[in-house]
Amino acid sequence: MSSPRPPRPRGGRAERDQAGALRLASHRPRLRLIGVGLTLVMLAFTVRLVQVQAVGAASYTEKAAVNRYVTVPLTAERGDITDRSGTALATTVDAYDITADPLLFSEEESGVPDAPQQAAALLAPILGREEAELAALLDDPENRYVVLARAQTPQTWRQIRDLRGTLAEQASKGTGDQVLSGVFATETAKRVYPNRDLAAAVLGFVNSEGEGAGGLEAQLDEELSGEDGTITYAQSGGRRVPTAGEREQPPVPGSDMELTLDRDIQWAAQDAISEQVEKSDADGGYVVVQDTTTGEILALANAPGYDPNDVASADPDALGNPALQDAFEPGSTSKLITMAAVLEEEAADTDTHVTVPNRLPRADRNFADHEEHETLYLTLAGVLAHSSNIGTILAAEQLGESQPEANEALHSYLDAFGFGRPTGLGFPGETAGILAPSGDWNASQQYTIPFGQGLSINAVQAASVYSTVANGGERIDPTLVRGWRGPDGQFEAATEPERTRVVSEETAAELGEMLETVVASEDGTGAAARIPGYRVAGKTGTSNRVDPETGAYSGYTSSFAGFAPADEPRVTVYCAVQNPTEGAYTGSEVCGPVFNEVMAFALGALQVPPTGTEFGGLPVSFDPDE
Amino acid sequence: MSHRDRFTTLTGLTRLNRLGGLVPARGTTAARTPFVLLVVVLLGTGMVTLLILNASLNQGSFELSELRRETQELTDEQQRLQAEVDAYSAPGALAERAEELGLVPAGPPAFLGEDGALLGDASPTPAPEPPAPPEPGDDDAPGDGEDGGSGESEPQELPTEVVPQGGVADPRAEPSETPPPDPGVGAGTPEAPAGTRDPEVEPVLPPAEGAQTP
Repeated sequence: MSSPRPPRPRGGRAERDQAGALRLASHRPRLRLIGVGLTLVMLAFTVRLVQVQAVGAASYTEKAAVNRYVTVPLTAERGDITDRSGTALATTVDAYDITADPLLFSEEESGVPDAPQQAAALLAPILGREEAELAALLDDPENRYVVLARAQTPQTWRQIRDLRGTLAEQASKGTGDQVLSGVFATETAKRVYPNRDLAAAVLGFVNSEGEGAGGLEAQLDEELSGEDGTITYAQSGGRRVPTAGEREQPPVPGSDMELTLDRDIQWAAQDAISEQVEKSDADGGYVVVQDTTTGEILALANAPGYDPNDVASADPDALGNPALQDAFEPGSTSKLITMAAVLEEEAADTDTHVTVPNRLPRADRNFADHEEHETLYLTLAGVLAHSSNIGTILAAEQLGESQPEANEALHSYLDAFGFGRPTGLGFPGETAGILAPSGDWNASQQYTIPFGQGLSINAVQAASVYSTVANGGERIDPTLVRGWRGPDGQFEAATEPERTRVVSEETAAELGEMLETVVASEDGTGAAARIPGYRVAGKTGTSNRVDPETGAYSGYTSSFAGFAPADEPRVTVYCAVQNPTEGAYTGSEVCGPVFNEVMAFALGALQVPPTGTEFGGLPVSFDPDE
Repeated sequence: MSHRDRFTTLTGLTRLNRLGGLVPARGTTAARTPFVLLVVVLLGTGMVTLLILNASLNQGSFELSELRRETQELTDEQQRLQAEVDAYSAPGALAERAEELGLVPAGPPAFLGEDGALLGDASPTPAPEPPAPPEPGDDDAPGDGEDGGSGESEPQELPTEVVPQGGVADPRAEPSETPPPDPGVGAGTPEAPAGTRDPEVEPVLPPAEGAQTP
């Protein structure tokens, strides 16, 4: 082809020379044509080659890899939640969702006319479901996917597999029919709460996606869930090719969270409150147990509770954590704050004489005590021991020269003790309670707030008040999480809770003695809380309860708060029962025994010995004639 | 151009001679056999090695999947057993079991002080009114025949033994191996019999041993 082009006239001459003979067309144009054609083809090939091998190489490799390489997500294992001693309260186990392809149960596919019914009869006892239900699910050839049972144990799946194998054997021998070929399983993880309803309200639960949906599971979801990984490997015909390179991004498991809860104390608290709520036919109840020296919450029990292993069948209204999510009027237990303010401001002393009439006209009404009485001659300690509303109002009035000043002083103490603000736990759905600024207090509120009506708190806030007094007047933010153990196995402690001084140590000691008088004195309301051998400080509370449905007062909130040992406090226990309707309703009768039981158990569990000292109580009354 | 000139001057004969010099003088048949053998052996061993490699790789793959399956099964088993243990050790289940055996809640604890004095109230918790008349082996699990028998025959006795036990330990107690801090008068009686030990030593006993003391 590279030969020099022959001159045109030569061709012409040749035609002329052979005129008359067989005239053949010149081969040259044809050769040239073929040459050009081949060149074009070669060019096309080259272009295509360059395109495939150089320009589009990456995308073609990718397309090829789509089928050759598969990427499978590796689910990170969710961290456990443990109590303070490391016992698992929530853990994760392997599980299988049992699924089926109903098409494979049709007569054409299975060759058996009643395959769904036969399969249902075999599976029902294994999966614990109604035979008719399963048969209905399987007898639907239009559908290609049904879930027969969720989160079954590996043992259950193995049982089904074995059964399927047996059937296959029988089918090959001709002695039976294979009716289970359309049953499959998907591996999943299942969240398990080994102690069932223990601390359920605190722990919360996870949704079907395995994400925390309530309680600490939701609050700590980020730490617990870890980071999912992936694995990419070559496969051929569904099998992994061992020699082909694989890339694995290993999942990072979630951290194990260690709570401040003590499993045994939690159980004792939950057991006691559940029993009392049932006995009183109440709407609900809570018990908070707090370590006074560290602010750690040792137990946070609610009744009624639920089993987080089976959230689906639990009452949706009971899925919260009422101890942190219910705001209620504390009643007499918050008289302690009024007393703290009066003592700290040196407006009165524990033995200051208070003359308590039967009725006290203030604002637009006559205030009364919980029982009719002649005029009483009480000391300030006696006012608390008798839980006199009138005495408390009279004491609170001493806080300022004018009523607004007194209100403001009282408000500052309520605020300092943690009312009207979140507890610092950061629990999902937690209420801060309701505490109006002192300027907004209406005429009657300024007289009811000193004895605990006209403001709302949650149970942990109430417990924290008593822990503050027990801890010498220094408030420690309550905590629920001690720390966490990361994937590297290192324990990392949670940040130290904040400590703020609310009242002086002297005031706190005086308040402790006053609270002890409530329990120890013959005239006190807290005799039910006495624990043989121990010095116990406590206060009852019986408040009018705001019905959440009507917004009006209806029924009572019975409560009891206290700590022990009174002279060297270690534990605070707070109990409240909402709307007891059966039997007694006073704080001492409903919550006194609960406090007693839980406190005795907690002292034993924490091995707190009695201090061995005796205290008879402060004088509660005085003789007006002296 | 000088090379070309030289070649063009060569005659046909000289060219043949030169080519003839390139041919090995002797026959080549003798040297060919070992060479072929060598190649065959090389190829053969290569193929066999490849075969063995592949086979062992496959073998390993089978073993791997077998071991994986075994691990999975053992994990499943471990989780099942753990769940069983958890179910037994859950406080609610323990309390129920204890009640079945005739135990009662201990009540407020009592402790022995550093000077051997009793701290707290050690009076036994009263036994609850006996439940339904206990029928030996009525609905008890077969495994606890012996325990259940003694527990049920004298249900009132058990609590009185149990209550002080739980309450003897001192929280501040150190392990009993630790020598007591200078105990003053008690220091000179290292041979003190177990019943009348140095008061300083008393509270450091672990609970189980402490139960032997009055």
